[in-house]
Amino acid sequence: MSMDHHHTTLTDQLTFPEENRIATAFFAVGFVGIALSLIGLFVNTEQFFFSYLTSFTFIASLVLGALFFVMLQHITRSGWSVVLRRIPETISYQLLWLGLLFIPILFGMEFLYEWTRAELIATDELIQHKRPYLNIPFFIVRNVIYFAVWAFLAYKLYRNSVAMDRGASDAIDRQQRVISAPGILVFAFTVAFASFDWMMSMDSGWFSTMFGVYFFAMSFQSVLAVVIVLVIYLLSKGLLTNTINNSHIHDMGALLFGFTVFYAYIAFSQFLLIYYANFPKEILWFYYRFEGSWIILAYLFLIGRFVLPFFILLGKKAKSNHKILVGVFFFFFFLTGS
Amino acid sequence: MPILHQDAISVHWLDLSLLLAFFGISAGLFFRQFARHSMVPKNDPLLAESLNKH
Repeated sequence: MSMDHHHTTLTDQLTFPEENRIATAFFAVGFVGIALSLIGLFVNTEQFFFSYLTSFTFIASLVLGALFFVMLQHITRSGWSVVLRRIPETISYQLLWLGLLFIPILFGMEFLYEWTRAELIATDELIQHKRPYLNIPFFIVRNVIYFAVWAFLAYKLYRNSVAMDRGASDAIDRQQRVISAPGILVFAFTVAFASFDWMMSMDSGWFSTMFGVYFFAMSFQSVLAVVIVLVIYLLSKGLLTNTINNSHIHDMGALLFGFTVFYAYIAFSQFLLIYYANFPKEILWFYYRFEGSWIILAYLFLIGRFVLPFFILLGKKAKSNHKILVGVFFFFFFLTGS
Repeated sequence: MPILHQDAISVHWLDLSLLLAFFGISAGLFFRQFARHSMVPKNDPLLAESLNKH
């Protein structure tokens, strides 16, 4: 890795050479997963939709975190991250098709969301009270708006970035900031409401105004780990070794460390406020997660998403140690997926 | 999810198969798209700053 000389021109091969092999391998894994899942759809339909929503939300959270990363770099005019920005740009570009994968969830709404069930609508006062917001047509309209906005932002930012590969343009560079500045505000609202719709409304009696930020914190923390691992993967293949150095990885590690603390702050704040108020309707989320063996997962979250990464990433050297960062990634990947 | 299995942690094989499906397809699409263009925004006005970061 070149770290001891200054240069302003790219000397590395700039195209990814292994696309056919690795992309094909992942597609094969994906198709095996699809085939097994289709069998499961007929064996246990209710479980299928719950598992589908979990996996969909996991992938969506990563892709949305990548979009936020790209917009954040543009509005702050970050120079340090340019060499690795194409990775989150490409991750966020998947927002173009992600909306299509939301369609199956619409067919499983009666399993996933109790507020769609006629017998509960007729008898539950709280669900009746929330009907102006929690009804199927408005749920669909909101989600169409979310995916349209995200796809627009991801498409424009990616296409502009690629257009600049053909020749530098101050106008395009300025346009990236013009898109990102309002984009990040729209992103904040749409991601918060999407998390309310997808996850929080599963228990229509429970609510937390912090849930949107909690979802965002977890998604950004996870995508930072993903980008770091992809950078380390490229370097391990001998790619971009004169372009990306340990200083870039260290800064990504520092960002990951910072958002590990941010995630813990948000998660604890949400817990403390609900615990302190002790309203029956508000404590349901934690009540379920502190009962029976679910408490194991609660502690695993505490240790895996905060305690371990906090102490591991506290040291300067650990933030650029490839093995440690890959280890942290797998922990996040497992815990976010669970 | 606790809302479906309130008594105890339950990891169904569908949790794993759907995770494989989503992960495999999205990772495949990522690498296919990543290979279509330069891995680095090569004409970005701030590229020199990024290359000189040590």
